[in-house]
Amino acid sequence: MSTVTMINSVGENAAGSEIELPDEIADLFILRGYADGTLSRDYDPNERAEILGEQQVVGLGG
Amino acid sequence: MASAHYNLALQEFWKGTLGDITGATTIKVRLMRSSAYTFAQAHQFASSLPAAIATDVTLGTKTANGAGADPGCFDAADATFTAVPSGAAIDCLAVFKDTGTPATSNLLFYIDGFTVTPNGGDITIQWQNSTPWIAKL
Repeated sequence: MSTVTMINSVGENAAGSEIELPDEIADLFILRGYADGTLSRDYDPNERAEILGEQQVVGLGG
Repeated sequence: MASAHYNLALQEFWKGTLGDITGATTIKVRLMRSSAYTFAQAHQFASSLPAAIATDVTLGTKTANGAGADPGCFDAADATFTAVPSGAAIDCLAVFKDTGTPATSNLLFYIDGFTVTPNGGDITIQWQNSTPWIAKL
């Protein structure tokens, strides 16, 4: 398990909260920029690209 | 339809019954499709909304002053919906005070003017970085 501090609000995990997550989920949140924390292991560029690949961002207004 | 407050929420703001929505009160966001939801001022509670497309997001880092720059504006950290199932375009959302019971969860704001076709991955809603931020009273 890893502890992260949420930057975005993700599902039930509100931004600003410190939460404990399974390593795999914590790493995903960190790599996607949803949370601050320490990765549980190194990720190669292909893994990072795969993790980042499916995100969609909707900007509201200016 | 343009983004709007729910008038019945404004009524509750004036009555002071909604509590401090920037505090411990749980404020959630639901993604929706306009094909499944038509905004109506008669809607007061989340029970009027269609079923969630993805898990509703609980907002955090909430302020009532547009991140310190704009008093009267509700703002919060960006909201990420995880693993939103692929399907038709999503083009509106509702912000509501969650009590745990849809029939008592007050609808606050309705926002449209965007569209995103989910690809099965995460969708992050980046709130406007200027007035009205999420919404201004």
